[in-house]
Amino acid sequence: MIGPKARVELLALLVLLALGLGLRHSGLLLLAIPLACHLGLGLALAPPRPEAHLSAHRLVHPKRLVEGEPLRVTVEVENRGREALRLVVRDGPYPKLPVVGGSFWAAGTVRPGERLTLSYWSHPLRGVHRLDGVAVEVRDPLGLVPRETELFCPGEAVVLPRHEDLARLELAARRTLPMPGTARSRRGGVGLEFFGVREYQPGDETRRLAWKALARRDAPVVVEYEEERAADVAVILDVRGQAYRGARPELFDHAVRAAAALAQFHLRQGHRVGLLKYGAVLNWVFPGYGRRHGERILGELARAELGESEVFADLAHLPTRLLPAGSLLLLVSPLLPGDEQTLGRLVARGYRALVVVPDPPSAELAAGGRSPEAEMAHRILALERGALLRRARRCGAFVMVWDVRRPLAPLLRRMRGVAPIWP
Amino acid sequence: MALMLAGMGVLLAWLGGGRPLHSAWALASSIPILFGLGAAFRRPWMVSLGFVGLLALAGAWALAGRALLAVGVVGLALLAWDSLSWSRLLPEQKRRGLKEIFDLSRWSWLAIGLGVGLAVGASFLRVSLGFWGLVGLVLLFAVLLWAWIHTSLGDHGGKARGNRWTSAPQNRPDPKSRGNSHPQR
Repeated sequence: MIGPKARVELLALLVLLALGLGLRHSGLLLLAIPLACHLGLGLALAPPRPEAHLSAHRLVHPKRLVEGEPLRVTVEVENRGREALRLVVRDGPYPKLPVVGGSFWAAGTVRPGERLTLSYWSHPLRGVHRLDGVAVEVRDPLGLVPRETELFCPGEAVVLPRHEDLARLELAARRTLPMPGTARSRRGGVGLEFFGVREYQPGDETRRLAWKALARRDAPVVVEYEEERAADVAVILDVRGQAYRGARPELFDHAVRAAAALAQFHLRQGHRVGLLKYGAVLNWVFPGYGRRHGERILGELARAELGESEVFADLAHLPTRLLPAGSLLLLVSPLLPGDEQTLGRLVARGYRALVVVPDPPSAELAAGGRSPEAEMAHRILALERGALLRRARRCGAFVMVWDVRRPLAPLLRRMRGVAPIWP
Repeated sequence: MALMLAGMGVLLAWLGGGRPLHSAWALASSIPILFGLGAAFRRPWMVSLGFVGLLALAGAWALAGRALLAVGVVGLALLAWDSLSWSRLLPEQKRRGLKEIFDLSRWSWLAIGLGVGLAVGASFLRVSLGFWGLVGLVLLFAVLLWAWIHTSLGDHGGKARGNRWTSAPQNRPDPKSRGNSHPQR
């Protein structure tokens, strides 16, 4: 098909011919000659179909990165034909890949065997970015018959959520596993914290003898330390769209970052950590240990998106069979009215529950400024939310309201004073 | 460059007309501006409008009996529009030498030079209007026929050859070809 430029020229040619013949004016007919020559030569020089002569290769580096790190995308289009081609190559633009350097398009004359390279840098948003093909336009020398095609050159980049390194969270599961970890097991054994003394039994190490107690009692006693073991931890990320309704999209990203920080912290402590995304569908990462498992969880969090489902509209359908009994539940959710009842049921079943509530009003204030109307809305929202959170606390859950403008770590460090560790 | 060439077209028409002082010429000055804005903001309709404006100017001079002047304006209009294609294809990193500009623009010069030369030559011929009409129709028919033949022959198909090695075997890159990234074991 001829391009828009050729259409305009053809139309002008027809008009000039029609006017020249209609008005019987040779001057107008003369004007048609340059147009006809230009149009004729342009059509004669039309380029071949580009698909058969071009190949594209895409390089995405790195393929796995954390929010805020630069991503470099390079696309090379090679001319495998026997003629030089005038190419305009465009990749994107992709809305979640804002270009911060380079250019997402390139143009130039590519001789046989040569390559046209376009390269750009981006600070991509969290998520899985699939880059499929590049749009290629082959132009004729006069720009009359452009040929457009798309060359398939897939590439993928997984952008993991940025997260804080939490230093301390003194909240343990009710039940521990037989593997060593950092959760206090309320049993005497090998550990760091003093647990008590007991009578010496044959086979006890002599270095554990408490000499001062021996002097007082006149009988050998040994010191016991509280054994530290691993525990089951389930991080539950609320991906219900209605829980974040009315808030800025950044609030969900903050929630994802908090879930990532909690999961990574507990994996570093040697606990067995699982992840549940509760929302449109149930997405469950089975509990596991180690760095590789941490990467798997981060990968799932990178894919987290909000969704709507009538079935999972409230937390009542939380699949408790997947959550090991006595485990520590870390729920990251803005909470909806009615969720506190489910939390109460979970606590009653023997789970220990910590709810990190990314504060929607704080996100609004961070994004919307400090006008009097915004302040008033903030106060009303805060009152409603305060009532909801009080009800959740009354159910026995540990509720932490997180102002997303501030880091999460200091908030969790202060948790020791909020509630006793062993109630 | 397009702005410059279109401005030259308007200037040629103005100078060729004996530098007339008429308010319509102020309107004509908007033509190069349209070219410039269309190129800057990538609005093809602005460029098309500027081109049609120059053709209208040329048509007006042709009706006034200044056929050679009008042919010159048409040549500059075509050159201004073609220059947009060159400027976009010029390499950004390298120095834009005259050789690169000539390489990109030689076909434009040839097409426009040939057209203007033929038009100027034809203006000296004294033949009937019917003959010109016949020539015009034959030219138009030839252009359309060429376009149809070229389009028909060009649609012989072809396959995109990216690095999609997971697709069907017939679409995989030829291992013997240059740049093969999947050597046979």
